[in-house]
Amino acid sequence: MGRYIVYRLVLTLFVLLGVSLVVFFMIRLIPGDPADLLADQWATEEDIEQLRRDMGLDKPITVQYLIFLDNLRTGDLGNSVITKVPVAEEIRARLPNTLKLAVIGTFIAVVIGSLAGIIAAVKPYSLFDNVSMVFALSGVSTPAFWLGLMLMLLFSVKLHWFPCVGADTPKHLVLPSLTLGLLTAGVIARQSRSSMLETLQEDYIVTARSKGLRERVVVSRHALKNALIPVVTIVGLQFGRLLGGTVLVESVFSWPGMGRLLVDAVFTRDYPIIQGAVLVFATTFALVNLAVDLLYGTLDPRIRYE
Amino acid sequence: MVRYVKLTALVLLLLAVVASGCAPAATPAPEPAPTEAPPPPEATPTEAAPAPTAEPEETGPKEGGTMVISLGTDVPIFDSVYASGIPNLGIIHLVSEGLTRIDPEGGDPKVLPVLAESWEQSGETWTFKLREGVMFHDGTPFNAEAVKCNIERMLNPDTGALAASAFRVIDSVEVVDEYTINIITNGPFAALPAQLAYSPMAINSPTQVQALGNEDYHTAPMGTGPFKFVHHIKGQEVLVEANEDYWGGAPYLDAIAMRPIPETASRLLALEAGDSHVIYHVPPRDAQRYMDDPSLGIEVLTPPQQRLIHVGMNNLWGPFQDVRVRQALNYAVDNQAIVDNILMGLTTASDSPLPPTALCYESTKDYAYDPDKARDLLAEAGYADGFKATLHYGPGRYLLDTEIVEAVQSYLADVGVEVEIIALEWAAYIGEVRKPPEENITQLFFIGWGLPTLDPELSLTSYVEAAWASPINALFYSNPELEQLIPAQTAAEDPAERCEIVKEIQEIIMEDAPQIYLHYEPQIHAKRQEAMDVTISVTERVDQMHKAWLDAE
Repeated sequence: MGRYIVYRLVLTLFVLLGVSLVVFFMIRLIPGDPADLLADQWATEEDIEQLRRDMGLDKPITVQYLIFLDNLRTGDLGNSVITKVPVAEEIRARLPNTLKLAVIGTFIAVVIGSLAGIIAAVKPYSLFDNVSMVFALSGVSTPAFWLGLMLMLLFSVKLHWFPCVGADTPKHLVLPSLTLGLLTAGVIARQSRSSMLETLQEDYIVTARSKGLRERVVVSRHALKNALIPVVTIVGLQFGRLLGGTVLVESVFSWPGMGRLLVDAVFTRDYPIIQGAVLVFATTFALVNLAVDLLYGTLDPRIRYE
Repeated sequence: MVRYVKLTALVLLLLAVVASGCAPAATPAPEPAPTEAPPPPEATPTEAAPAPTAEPEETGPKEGGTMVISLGTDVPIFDSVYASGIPNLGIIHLVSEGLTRIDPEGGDPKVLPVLAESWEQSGETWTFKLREGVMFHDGTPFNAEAVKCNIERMLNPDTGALAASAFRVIDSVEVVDEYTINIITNGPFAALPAQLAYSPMAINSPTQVQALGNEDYHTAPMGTGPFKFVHHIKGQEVLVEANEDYWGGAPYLDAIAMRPIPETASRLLALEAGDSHVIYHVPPRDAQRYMDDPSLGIEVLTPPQQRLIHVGMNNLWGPFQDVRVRQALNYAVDNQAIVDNILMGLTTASDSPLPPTALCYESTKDYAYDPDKARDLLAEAGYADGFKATLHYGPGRYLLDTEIVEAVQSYLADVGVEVEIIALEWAAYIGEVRKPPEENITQLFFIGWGLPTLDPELSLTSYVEAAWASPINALFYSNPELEQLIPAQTAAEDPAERCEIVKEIQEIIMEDAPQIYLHYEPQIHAKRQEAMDVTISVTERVDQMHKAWLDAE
């Protein structure tokens, strides 16, 4: 198991290197650079060239990449070209906010989704089943933006239960994480339902029932764990969607997280921030998938890693 | 399964329809950069007055409270030398003031005293008398030496100031006595007091700049303004607190918080929920909704405008080399109809390269809609069968830009000019527009030119050949007469004489029509009615905030 983990971590390192390479070149090839944007209406071409020199953008692109790698070796992600603040500091300020959102969002999604899916599977074709599956479907198809704005309109403007934007108090956390959670709950609900339905057909369930066990015990002790295995996979896969979702949800709620940092950085062509943020997202995603794979192993004894 | 699906689907659909009906009609695209404002609509009772209004039942301004302002962008860095975005610089000016400021109403005089009390020109030397008895927030006295330090910091190439080029006309600064300073320019420069009002020029405590250095000054800025810097939590909040010793009188407010909300819909909701007291950039339809329903408690602010919205033409490309073609395109586009129908009459059609609020503005030439004349001119120029051209723009930057660009396209199609619209993300668009003549592929481009000083200098400077090297000007236009006249107005010391020259310049430019003149961009902002005496100036900055107060219950 230990060797497997090390092997996966080394693989992750290579993936991250590849990601950094692709992002580095991609953003520099898009038309428009930070100097173009920062310069005011009356700046001369010389002023802009000087700005580029100050940002180190006048060097050939391969040289810039080598400098970036060299700095990365010492843990220096560079400085924002707009705020001049070190990238690591900007990320350190924002990352906890996004993690809070992502964790609580995932928690809401898993709780609502799996509960709904399991109950729907235990009482198939009932009213609950139909209603919850339609909601699940709409959850998958609903745009994050719209959902966020609707929740804001209802709970903030009309009811005044929660604040609109910002991140100061725990109350501020509710609407954004609810939005994120509801978006992914749908997929989890559908997966839980079908996986539970399948599990309940298995022979050992028939055996458990014939032993005279109450249905609740059959479901919770015998069926649940096995039914949840595919759900764990889905959560892992959905995590990517969730990370993408944080970008949208953070924009709607003005949540000061990594998503907004990245979006703002793209619009202002703040290269060091873009590189740093993408690296953080990629690392998070890789680590979460590793965790999911390992969790898989503990849930299902048939799977063992060497 | 089938039994209940239809029912639940129907219920969901109904909910969705009801919910979307209640939502504000907000622009879908996030706004990456601020846009500017429209002229005040006639006689709306809901406008905020710049000076305290006499309300018989009130006892006057109340003390206390924190006013929350929401812009669409965060202040990038709390140092005017490195920050971009005029509304953002306005927030910085709450802490660090300039020598002069521009009249919020765009009236006369255009330039008002702040830290400089009076000024006088004599050839290449402008003498400024400074305000006495003013202190920076760290106790350093404000004087001529301080002004000299700040101007030199702006011009020093090592500083890397973003707006240095606007001040390069300054050759040197001489301290005459403690409160008098001589600024010597390269050649007589009539616009200097106005230019010094341009937001990047703010006066910071030299002691603090010295202590922290250029890199770190933004962490603890010290100015002379009505508010003192408390903190700047990136992406979340800028907090400034009242400066009780402010030379203009202590502010009524305890503090002002600026919380950026980039999403338009979210910003509107924050205003309606009461989370923000003042917000920038409200779409016209929502402004109309606020004006129609006073029970919402929201007042719309429409300061005068100064940004010329136009379709630039690459004067070096194909048909645009012929003045008749350029005039034809101006006759072909009904800019008045665009103002009336797309911009809801919130601004005026452009009849001069200068906005009506500017010094020396003259209503010069109104290219009234005349498609027949357009076709005649095109035929005369040899384009009876029309021609094709591309129109580049960066959506989301200017109010209702997509709608306006599409209208222009259809007007031009009417006279045989087939326009292909190319929408690029703003940064990519600017990248294309900024290329020099040899590499520039733009033919038509939709853009706005701001005039934050309300002085012709910063506008007319783009109409000479030397300006071809100045990136945002892809007009590549020049006229031998203007090569003489524009430097002449720069130098003219007598204001009346200067306006005579500027009048002639406007006539020549409008006749030459290097651009398709559309309108001046409307400024539409909004505030809750408990936010009193809040002024947003013609140059998009919050102004005189020491006079603002909160009428809190």
